[in-house]
Amino acid sequence: MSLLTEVDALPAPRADRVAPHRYRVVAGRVLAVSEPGHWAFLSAPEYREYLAGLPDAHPRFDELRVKGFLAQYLDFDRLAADAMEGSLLSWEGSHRLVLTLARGRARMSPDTLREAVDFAFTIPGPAVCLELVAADPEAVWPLARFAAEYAARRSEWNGRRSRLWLRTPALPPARRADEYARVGLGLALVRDAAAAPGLGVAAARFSAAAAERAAPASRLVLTWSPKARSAPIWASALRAAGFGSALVSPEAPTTLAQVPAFAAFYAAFLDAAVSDGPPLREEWAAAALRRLPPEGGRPREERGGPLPGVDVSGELCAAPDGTLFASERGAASPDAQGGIGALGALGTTAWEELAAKEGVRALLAAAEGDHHPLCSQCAYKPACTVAPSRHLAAQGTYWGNLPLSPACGAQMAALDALFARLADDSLRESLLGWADSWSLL
Amino acid sequence: MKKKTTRSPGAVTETFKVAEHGLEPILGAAYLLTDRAYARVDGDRAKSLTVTLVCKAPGAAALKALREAFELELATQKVRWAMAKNNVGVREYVARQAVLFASGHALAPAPQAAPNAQAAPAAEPLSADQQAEIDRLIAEVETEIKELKNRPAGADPDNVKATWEEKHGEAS
Repeated sequence: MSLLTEVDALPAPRADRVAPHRYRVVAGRVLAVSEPGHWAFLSAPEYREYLAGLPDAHPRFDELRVKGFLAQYLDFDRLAADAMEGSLLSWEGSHRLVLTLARGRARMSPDTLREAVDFAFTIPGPAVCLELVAADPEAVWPLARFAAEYAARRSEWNGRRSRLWLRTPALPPARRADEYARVGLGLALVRDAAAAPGLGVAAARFSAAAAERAAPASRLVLTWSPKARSAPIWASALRAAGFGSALVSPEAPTTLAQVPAFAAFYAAFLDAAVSDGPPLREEWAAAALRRLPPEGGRPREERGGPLPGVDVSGELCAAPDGTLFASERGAASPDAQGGIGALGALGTTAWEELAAKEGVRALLAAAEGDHHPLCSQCAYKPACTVAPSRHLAAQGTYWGNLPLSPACGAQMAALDALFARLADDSLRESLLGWADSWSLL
Repeated sequence: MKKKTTRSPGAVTETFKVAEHGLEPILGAAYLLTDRAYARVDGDRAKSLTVTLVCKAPGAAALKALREAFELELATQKVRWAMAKNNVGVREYVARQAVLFASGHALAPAPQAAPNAQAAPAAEPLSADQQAEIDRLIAEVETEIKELKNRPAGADPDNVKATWEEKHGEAS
């Protein structure tokens, strides 16, 4: 079936009545999404009536007018402002800086780490977000502690918020829990969804310590694989360990054939996360929802930026030797050093220089939905971005071939699962609440 | 719909008048089905195009499904492109205004949500005291790293803790 789906026997849309939008069939209904990302679910007959020109007395008239679906009532300046807020025009800086503290035998030095923190504080934006990466948290504890303490000082001196996480597959010793919380370092634990959760008392210590000191909450980075354990098992384990959130990224499927199994897991995880129990947020869904304009006048401090992992706009990455890359995935690719994703080096390359680099412009262009035949017609365009480095890894080109792209297929499936639940009145508020709570990835 | 369909084993070939169906819907439908067929488009884009879809999956059922999907997708593409073309003026205006708002040449309406947090200014140079504090922190870290490296290792008769490079030599 076409990735965009279809509805039978649609009338030609009335030019004077139908505002620009995109549509898709989700959960048996037509999801209509306006240019900036306001959305509405209509039945198939309602959608046909809308395309033919909705009468003023129609029960959905007021809702569609307020959301900007009716051409004759368009608030053009509001539409332009929404477009600006949701696009690169409003982009201030990369959302996070990923620092690879150790890779193989290479270790980042304290001086390089200091340069990295300094660089992060030159990136414009409402806050500074650093994600430290290491396989062995104990081996890099002095560096992680320094990064957290230095960032805290810079926050105090410069008046900017900062948040740091250490992403690692190994749970640090329980005795470190208070230290992590004291220096304001959050724990992002990586787990393969096929493995045993391994979130016991020690993990709970980190959650408790973080809560006591208002440090960044512990989160799980759950990597789906075809033999993944059931999603409810993971949700239960997360709640038992006091973790407030998990990132179940659609990056995991490597082929289109894997997408249905991933989609089923993701949907089950969403259901388990919004079910009765302590609040549990799925971070990728929260990031996607934050990209949309707030619904119903909900206040939001910041409109969310690009999805996690998107080259340059979503993240930058520093290798242990201080080389700066467009993304963590880009840094790991075999030809990273000579590719367009190699942007310079900490200590010598300034943030302001990046915009002039041809590689940066190429990557930003490749990530722009309007430049792709499938994305430009997709209902999820306001919420979705496929990282160019992901296209490169799967298909050998930063642009990608979207009908054959496992990245596109997986993200579309994840958004189908998310929006199918947004259509449910009993789940909508919980899900939109994920977008309201401040989260930086 | 005036089209000519020819049947050949494993492929659907259809010819369309561009003026009737539109260039973009024909190309769009063919592109979207490249996940299940190899698509070839021949002809004169000003007059008529012949689309050949070679089904990737074997069998008559797959071919039938491909033909039906292509017809449905073509109809869908016509609606999508009609909406896009109907609103060219709106989108051009919106894009132009968005650029003006972003560049400060026009005043954007107040946001419906709370105003975005101000982008913080770039980091200012550190004072001497601040620099001294950071140097002290770095010295502590370097001492701690040294202590970690100097810790006596536990017995490892099987060399389990060695890295791959230590066991096999650095990769060239």
